[in-house]
Amino acid sequence: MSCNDALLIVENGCVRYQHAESYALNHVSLTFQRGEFVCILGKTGAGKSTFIRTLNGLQALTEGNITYNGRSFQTLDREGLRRQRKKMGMIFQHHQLIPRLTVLQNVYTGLFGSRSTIRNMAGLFDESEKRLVRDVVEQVELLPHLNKRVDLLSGGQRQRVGIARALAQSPDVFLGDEPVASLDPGTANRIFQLLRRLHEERNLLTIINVHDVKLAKRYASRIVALKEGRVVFDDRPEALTGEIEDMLYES
Amino acid sequence: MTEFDVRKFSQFNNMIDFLSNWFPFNTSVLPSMLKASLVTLGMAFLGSFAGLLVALPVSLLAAKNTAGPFYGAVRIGLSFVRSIPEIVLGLMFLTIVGPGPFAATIAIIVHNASVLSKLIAELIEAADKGPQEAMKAVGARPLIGALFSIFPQIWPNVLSHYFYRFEVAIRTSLMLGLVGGGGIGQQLFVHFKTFQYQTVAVDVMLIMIIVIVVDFLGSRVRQNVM
Ligand SMILES: Nc1ncnc2c1ncn2[C@@H]1O[C@H](COP(=O)(O)OP(=O)(O)OP(=O)(O)O)[C@@H](O)[C@H]1O
Ligand SMILES: [Mg+2]
Repeated sequence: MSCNDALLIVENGCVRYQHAESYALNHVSLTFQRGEFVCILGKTGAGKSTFIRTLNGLQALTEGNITYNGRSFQTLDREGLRRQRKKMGMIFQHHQLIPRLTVLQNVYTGLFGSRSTIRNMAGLFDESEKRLVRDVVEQVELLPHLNKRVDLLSGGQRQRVGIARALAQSPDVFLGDEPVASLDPGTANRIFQLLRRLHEERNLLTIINVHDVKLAKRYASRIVALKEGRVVFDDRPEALTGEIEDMLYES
Repeated sequence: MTEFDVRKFSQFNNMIDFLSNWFPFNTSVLPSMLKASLVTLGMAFLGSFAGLLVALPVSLLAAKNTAGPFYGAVRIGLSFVRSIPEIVLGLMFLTIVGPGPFAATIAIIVHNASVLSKLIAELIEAADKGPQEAMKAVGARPLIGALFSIFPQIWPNVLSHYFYRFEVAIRTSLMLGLVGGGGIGQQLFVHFKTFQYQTVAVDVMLIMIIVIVVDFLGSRVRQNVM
């Protein structure tokens, strides 16, 4: 693939939190293309969350730059960043759904970025938006629970609501910050199967943090490993040897 | 300091004499006193509810995580208003708009708006950050993000605070009645001053009923919204 296919480019990305002595993210340069399913590995504190949050601007880089769809984050103000972000769906470890609202209501919030404040406030949705929301709920197999409050769902179901909310954004990019870390292995596998299927159907760029190496090897097309904020591995899953794994997780 | 003196209770039979004057109840005033009770209830409800309506947007400006650049000013303004006793607010509005329930209601609105703004602002600050971050991640504008990610989680607590303020507002509107704010409080004061103890008895009974009923309704509502 040529460089023109690059969807998301990180150049010399650094993050240094206030009062921190070292870099949480240390001169990271990576290029991501559409169609890649990337898993980010690294032990706790390696900078995975920091990295994933810089990709949609939830966390600003303190040095370096990110370019998404040919637009540099550096040149964007808050509103400009918001516009970029609305095409990047994100799922979280603790799903971060809105409690007390139903599955349907939570999925509707995925549309908020692309609609006017007035229409959002009034809860006005046109037919195509209603269809879109129903479709994505169907894709995550939650139609039977459409009007259930999300606090009454199981962990796996909640994560599927999180995925549906991100899908409602009609995203080009899917970001995940340890989305299966609180789920049992079976459920985690099913969530990854779902993500992989959606990824292929929609030809997305998917970048997900995981701490389970087996999951990464099984589903990723590319694995990036971080250690102390630096990229120490970036290759196809087959290239990740036991020795590299040991190096990653040693203390 | 409070002139506490047990000996003052020695005239205990005076109290019994006094209470015996309350009987029999003067039931002929019941209809008009019921009406006065409704006025009191109305003052308390309208006052606290309008206070809530004002407090909802103001609280967003008074919470650290949603406030704009005027956070400090809003906080100071709210503290200032809150520090004025309701009775002073009442006397102030009574002189501005004249005696009656209207002045009392405005005083209750102003006081409750400032109290509820602070309480709700604290709920907003303590709300789970997760959903707020998720709304940021979907690209929602800050106002929409705040409205949808914060209010659904704090709504039961907001209602619970509101009902408590409503209960307090009933006591306040009784008190404001004493200084000319209308309603059953004012009637009680007049009947007392004119020694119509059998009517006072009716007033007191009605007041107790109102307080008990609102208390009960409040706890029911609190249970149901959780
Ligand atoms: N908001 C913050 N303020 C200061 N330091 C932070 C902040 N967030 C993270 N850090 C620090 O930055 C480093 C990287 O943290 P990060 O959360 O990105 O790691 P991680 O790989 O996601 O870890 P985990 O697997 O535990 O989630 C850590 O040393 C952490 O203590
Ligand atoms: Mg993390």
